[in-house]
Amino acid sequence: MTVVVTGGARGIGLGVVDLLLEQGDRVVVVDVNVEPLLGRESDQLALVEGDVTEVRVIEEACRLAGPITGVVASAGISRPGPSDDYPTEQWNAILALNLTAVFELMRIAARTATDGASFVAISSVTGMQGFAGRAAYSASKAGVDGLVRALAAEYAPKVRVNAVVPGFVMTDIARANIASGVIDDELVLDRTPMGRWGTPSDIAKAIGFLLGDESSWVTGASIPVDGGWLSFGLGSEQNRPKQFPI
Amino acid sequence: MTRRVAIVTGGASGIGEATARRMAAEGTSVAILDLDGEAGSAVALAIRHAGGIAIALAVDVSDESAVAEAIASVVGEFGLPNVLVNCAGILHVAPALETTTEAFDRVVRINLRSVFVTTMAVVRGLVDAGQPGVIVNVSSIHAVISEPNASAYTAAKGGIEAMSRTFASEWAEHGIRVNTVRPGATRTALTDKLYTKPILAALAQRIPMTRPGAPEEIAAGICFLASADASYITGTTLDIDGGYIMDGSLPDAKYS
Repeated sequence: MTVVVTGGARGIGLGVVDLLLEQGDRVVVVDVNVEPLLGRESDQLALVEGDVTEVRVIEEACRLAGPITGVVASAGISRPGPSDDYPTEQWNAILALNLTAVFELMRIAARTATDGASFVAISSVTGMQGFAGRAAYSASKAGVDGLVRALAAEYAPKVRVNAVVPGFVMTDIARANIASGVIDDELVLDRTPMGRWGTPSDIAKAIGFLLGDESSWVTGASIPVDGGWLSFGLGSEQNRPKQFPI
Repeated sequence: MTRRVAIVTGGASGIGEATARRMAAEGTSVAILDLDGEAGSAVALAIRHAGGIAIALAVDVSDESAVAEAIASVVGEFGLPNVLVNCAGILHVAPALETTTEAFDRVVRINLRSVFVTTMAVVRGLVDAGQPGVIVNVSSIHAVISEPNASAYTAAKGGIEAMSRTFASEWAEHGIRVNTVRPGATRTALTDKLYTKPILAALAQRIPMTRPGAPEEIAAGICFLASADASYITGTTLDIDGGYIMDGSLPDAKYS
């Protein structure tokens, strides 16, 4: 497989890159900052440093890849904040990276995609439920789910298009949000049935399923990987789950 | 989960059979629980011939005491089951106004009550032993979109999904994951009676991937959810339908 991964230098994207390299796949990473992967370039791994919202950056990555068997659109930003004084430029920047860039990536990759290729986007539980202070991020992620369904219908049966829907995953974005007080770590643990944060590897494994033949009849789907977050109804201190090993 | 012991209900044919075969090929010891003992034994024999480990038991999975007895023999044979795939199901085709309450009860008993019965029996064993486990239930796209002339079937499938979410929340603290797959039009013995040529042609047009699914493709999703690759997935439903229910395109339109 040859897979183009945006945002592949950190977080969930990096988890995917690690998994694909381990499987022996070829990977082209596009990231605004490829520093974490410097020194790991090989026949298997090519790096493109650049802004994913620039079409020429995506075109360069797809050209490097050759025939594309997979795409993982993992680049994204979160930027929470109350809506009343939320800067419109920030709204536009989030939509540009989290949604528009996914559309551009997939339609550019589709030009050289092989028969049976698989495209995967990263959605979020915030695209399915309301979260205060997350208007732009939620809108972009709900948009990703809609985009995935539309492209799945349009590109079938040649290319499958799906999304994973992560719950709360411990990435640099999450760590920053915890540090700045936007997210309360304890509240997340209380509210997650499995009693732990997701890891980039948890999400990467589901993406691996969607990229591979095991999901040969899955298209247009958004698969939650959330430790039970979306299915959870009511919690209390009394039934707080104990932590379990993976 | 070190030693994997799976119970697959409805494992004598269709999606259940494909799941039993794939799990056994992956090294899991498999017990097939199916009303059709003869067909179940044939599948178990084929698995053993291929080098896998499998037994088959003739059981009505909606019968609590029969299930308890069957699980006791699985425990004796392989040890405590830690994987459960609830695949057994029947389809009753009749217009809603012609569906008797007896027919409704029978469908709900076999398709929904059985899931409760087998799940309780397996999970009780796991919780008592303090061991983790995983359950995968088989719903249907018709839990979400209508299926005229199958009201009882659709009710049972919707019930499976709702119940699975609640199980997932209740048992996460015990390390037990519960998920559901939602197959679309799949070629099995159950559907072969229904899939006439015109229906197959209509399905090919309606499904973005232009074909019905094979039982093996549903089994692959079930085995993924049952595997360590799905370690953070619980309480969810996976559509395996070639894009059937997500697609709203108008027939024959390049774009809508």
